[in-house]
Amino acid sequence: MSPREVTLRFEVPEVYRLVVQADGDGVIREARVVGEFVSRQIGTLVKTHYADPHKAIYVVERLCGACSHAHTLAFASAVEKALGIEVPLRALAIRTLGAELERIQSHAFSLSEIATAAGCHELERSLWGVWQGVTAILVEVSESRVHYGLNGIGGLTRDVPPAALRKARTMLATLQASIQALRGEFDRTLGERLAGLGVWSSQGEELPGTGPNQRASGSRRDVRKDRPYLLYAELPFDVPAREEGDSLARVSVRLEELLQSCTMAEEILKSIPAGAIQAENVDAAPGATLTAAMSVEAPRGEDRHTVALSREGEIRAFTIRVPTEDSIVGVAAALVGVPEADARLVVSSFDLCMSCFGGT
Amino acid sequence: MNVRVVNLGSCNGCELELLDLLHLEPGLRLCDRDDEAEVVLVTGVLTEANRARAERVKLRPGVPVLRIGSCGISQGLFLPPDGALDRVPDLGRSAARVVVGCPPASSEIAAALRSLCGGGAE
Amino acid sequence: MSTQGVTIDQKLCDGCWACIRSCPSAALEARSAGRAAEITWNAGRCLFCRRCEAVCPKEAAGRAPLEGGEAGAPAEPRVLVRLSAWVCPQCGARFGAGPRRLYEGIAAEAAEGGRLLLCPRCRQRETFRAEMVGKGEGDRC
Repeated sequence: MSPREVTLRFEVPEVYRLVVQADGDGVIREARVVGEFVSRQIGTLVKTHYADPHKAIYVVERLCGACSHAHTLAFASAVEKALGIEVPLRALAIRTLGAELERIQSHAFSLSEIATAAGCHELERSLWGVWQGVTAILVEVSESRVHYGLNGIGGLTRDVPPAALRKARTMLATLQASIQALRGEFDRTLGERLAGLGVWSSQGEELPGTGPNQRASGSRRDVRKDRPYLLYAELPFDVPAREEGDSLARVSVRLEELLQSCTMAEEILKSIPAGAIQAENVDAAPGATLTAAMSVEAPRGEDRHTVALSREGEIRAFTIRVPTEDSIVGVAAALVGVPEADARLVVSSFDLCMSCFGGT
Repeated sequence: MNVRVVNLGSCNGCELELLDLLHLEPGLRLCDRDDEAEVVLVTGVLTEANRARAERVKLRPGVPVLRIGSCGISQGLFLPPDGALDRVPDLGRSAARVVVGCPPASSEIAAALRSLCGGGAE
Repeated sequence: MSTQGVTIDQKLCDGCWACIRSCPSAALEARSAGRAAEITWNAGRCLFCRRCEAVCPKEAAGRAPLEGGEAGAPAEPRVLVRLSAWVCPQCGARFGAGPRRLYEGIAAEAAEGGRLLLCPRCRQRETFRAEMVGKGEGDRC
């Protein structure tokens, strides 16, 4: 049987395609995701045109609209590490807040895509309400909806006024209540359909990378726990995980993480320390290594940026490793044995991100 | 109203705002076909992989085009001042209206659609 | 929340171009207009990141609601600041560009006196004259 192309996408098109081979009964035997369409060679662009890290961070931010904070965080932290810059505590707290709010925003979007793929429009609308709710909080914190522009080399680009933080805390409480209500609704409407569908099995081995997909298949790895950064060493939180590896497990992990991130954001908002938001000196400290890598737990998993700088602080080398590089392997494995009609549902449960994938 | 979105290679930022737009304006419907489109929205920089697809887009004459965000309008960051990466696609660029922002908010895209289509966005 | 455009207060701007140098997407640019210099802003390239506001030493860069033409119409660079040329007080030649205030500030403070305000030709001549005169006096002592 010849390969057939299924158009699979965001509700808004042309991000990736899935090529499947199915048997006579419409059961998938082989699957491959093709997704270079929005790759913009950002790693190369940074080296050729944006050697100044203070400018490059804006290009790095545009690796992805769904996890731009994670990218700027990994990039800024790698540069800071390479130059020996100490970031003030207030900046670290607000960066952590941004990271957890971004996780809520990204998961709300991802879960609403799953609801769309399943044809559950009411559920999809409720989930989009969560996206809108957290976006409103982000507007308070960062004055932006999608690319927050909070991270700068050495700290934050601007401070967040105390009144905005107070307002964010009130809004977060409302949001948390609406997410609680949604959890049951997801199980009721989609639980049966997603259970056992599209299993990514670890087969007793450690799955590559980290992220909600891996944690739905028995992995416990999370960069926030394994190699803590920002305030994650002091911040109490669990890492939700499941063993089943099916679409339901992936959804459950994301729903748990939504609530977990709300609690974490609330915890941070309770006690954001006063003080500077920017390191005093952003030049290379004496004895700086000039080369460093930094991993962060982006909403989709480990996002790793590696930079090499010149003594003048110009970028000489830059590479990015994104979580979809691992998840895309999982999709291909999980689709085998799935009815063609459910392919889109399974793929959406993996929450692939094609704009940073192949972005270097 | 049928909206055709041509994503030339976006970071998904504009797409997220477009998704939000679909929730704000229930009268909008996404369509994949050029001949059904009543308005065309262009996002993203033109990536190499999308060049062939962009060339296949055939707009009906007179269909309004709205270019969205810095990338959709001018390639933004992806066209550094020295012009080394100049690859701006035409797609009715000369006549296109724009919504500025990186990305522009869904409400701003809605307002531009309304002014472009004479209140037809409802 | 609506997108806010970039503004630069002509009265405060010293023409140092810190905003232009730090603009990541080259939305702010300098261009010469006859004998004057202009700072232009292209809304269609702007990331609305507000870096220009952060780096401006005079707090001249700010924000204002977008004008009608920018939301919807094709994006054209808009002139935010026009810095007129300086006039050489000796020969009347026009050179450089910057605000009157900066010009007068230099005149008041510079140790070399008015020489810094002259056009390059007159400055050279005056410097030469001053040094020759200085040497002559030294010889006499």
